[in-house]
Amino acid sequence: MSLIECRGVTKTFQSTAEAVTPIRELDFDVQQGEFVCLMGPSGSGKTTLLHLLAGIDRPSHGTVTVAGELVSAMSPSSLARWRTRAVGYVFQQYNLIPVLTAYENVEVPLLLLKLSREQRERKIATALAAVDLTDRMHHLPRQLSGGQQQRVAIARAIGADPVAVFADEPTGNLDRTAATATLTLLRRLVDEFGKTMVMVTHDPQAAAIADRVVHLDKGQIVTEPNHA
Amino acid sequence: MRELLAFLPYVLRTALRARMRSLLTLLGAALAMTLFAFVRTVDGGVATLAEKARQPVLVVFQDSRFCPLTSELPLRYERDLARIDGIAEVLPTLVYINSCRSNLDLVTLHGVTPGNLDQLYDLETLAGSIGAWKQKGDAALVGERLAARRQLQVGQRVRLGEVDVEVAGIVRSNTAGVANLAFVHLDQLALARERQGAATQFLIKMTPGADEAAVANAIDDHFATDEARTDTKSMHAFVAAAIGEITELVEFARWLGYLAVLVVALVLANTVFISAESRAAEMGTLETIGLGKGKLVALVASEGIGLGLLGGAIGTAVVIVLLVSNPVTLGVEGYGIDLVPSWRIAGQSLLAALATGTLASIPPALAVARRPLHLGVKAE
Repeated sequence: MSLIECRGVTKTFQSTAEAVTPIRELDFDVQQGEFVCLMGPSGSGKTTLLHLLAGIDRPSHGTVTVAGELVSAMSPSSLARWRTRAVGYVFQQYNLIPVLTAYENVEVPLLLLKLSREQRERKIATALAAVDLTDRMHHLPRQLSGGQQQRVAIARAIGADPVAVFADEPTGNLDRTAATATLTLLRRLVDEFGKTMVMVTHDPQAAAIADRVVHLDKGQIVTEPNHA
Repeated sequence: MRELLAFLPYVLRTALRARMRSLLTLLGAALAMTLFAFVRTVDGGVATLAEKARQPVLVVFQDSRFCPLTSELPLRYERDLARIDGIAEVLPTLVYINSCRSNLDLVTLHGVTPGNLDQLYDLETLAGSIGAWKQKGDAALVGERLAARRQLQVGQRVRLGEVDVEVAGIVRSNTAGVANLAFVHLDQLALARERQGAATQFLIKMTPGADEAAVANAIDDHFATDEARTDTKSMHAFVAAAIGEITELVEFARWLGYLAVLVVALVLANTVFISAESRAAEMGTLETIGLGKGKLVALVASEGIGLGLLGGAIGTAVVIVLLVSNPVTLGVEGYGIDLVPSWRIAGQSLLAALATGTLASIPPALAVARRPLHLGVKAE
């Protein structure tokens, strides 16, 4: 059984003028411990699909199941709780809270879980060590480089030990060196920590690090070349 | 709740992030709540004075006169009054006040005959003695607020309202006006003011069971064709008439106080909305990591609630500190409206600030939280 299963997923956004359907009747699976990359032209539906997988949005039709839980049927509040414990999300713009230190940023999702202070501290230390930023833990985001900020965001994403990590253009704002380091880190999370990764990217070089690349066009999967 | 408390550092630092905006909002809230607390204090002073005027006592004043400086009744009326049915005690009083207009340095002297002063007023002696006052023709019994304002002590000689007196005692009473006046001997005041044989007013204590309105009518009827016609009212009605204009002003000021609260609400709502809108991506991030809509609303609103409450606390503290360090009595026609801050008013002001902060912050917080998450995540 796949860790992530999408069956007949359609997503329609109803604007005042017209209905837009970025995802149509899509079937899609991700295995446990797999690194999958979503590629496609702008408007192909890859970010929408990522949102549906991560429980940020719900499909108009069809089902999304993650680790046996029917995410697409959850109420908004259940979905929020599920995201806290099951989802790690990495944004293109890092989206760190600027007034919080690296340590505190990693701590934010853990505050929503029933953890003791000691458990929380242990998880933060592990996450920051995994991204090699223990020595920068008390720095504010503005005191870190772009690459370091993205590593903090990755530490925040893995801090709660989620079922899967979703990354939306994680190297889109980074120079080549920082991008390579970030991709290596994401790969390491899969290889060494057994995480399941779904990443959206435009960059073929970034996609090359994935086990599998899924190409989307007009809301549907067009090819699935195997990079493993 | 536990989770939200854990986010407190985030809320505080967010408020500090836009320091100038937070500071201006805080100042606006503090200023408006200062006005609100002050108006409530004046309101409380008027209410206290009116309450203290609820005494079973009639005041006989000259008809068609509205200021103690212009009312002049013959002292001989005392004998006639004592013979009217329903009247137990009569206290002729010659009143001197430094101004009939509203003022902040009220000096009121009540020249009375010593015999039955304590029959008409329930006086509690805080210092000195009423006996010492009765025995000395140039002595004064000073109300506690007046004594505090002028820093008077027993034994001290002082000039009050162009009359030299020796303070024989400092008194407290539940009767309206006593806190801000000095009782002197009628003869001394009449001599000093050149009004021998005259009284400004007579205080009447009725016999048990006497009908207030009937006695008042009997008095006015009795003097209807005499040298000076009288207008007799209950003390409550008399005080209400004396402070009528100021009461209307206070009612107007009360609306200003409410308006101030409304201004605070709008300022806070604006601040919360701008603050949350400028952090749309942050809101999206917090939601993505699992903060539910309800908690997001609470988190966003807490900034406005905190600023409103802090502003309210500052504004209330300003009023309390100012009025405690500089006791103020608003004088009008011989009656003093004491502006005394109280825990009750402080509590009301803080409650108003809390309610305003909450009501003002929740709508913009809801507006921000209503944004679909997939749009919040994309926000820059």
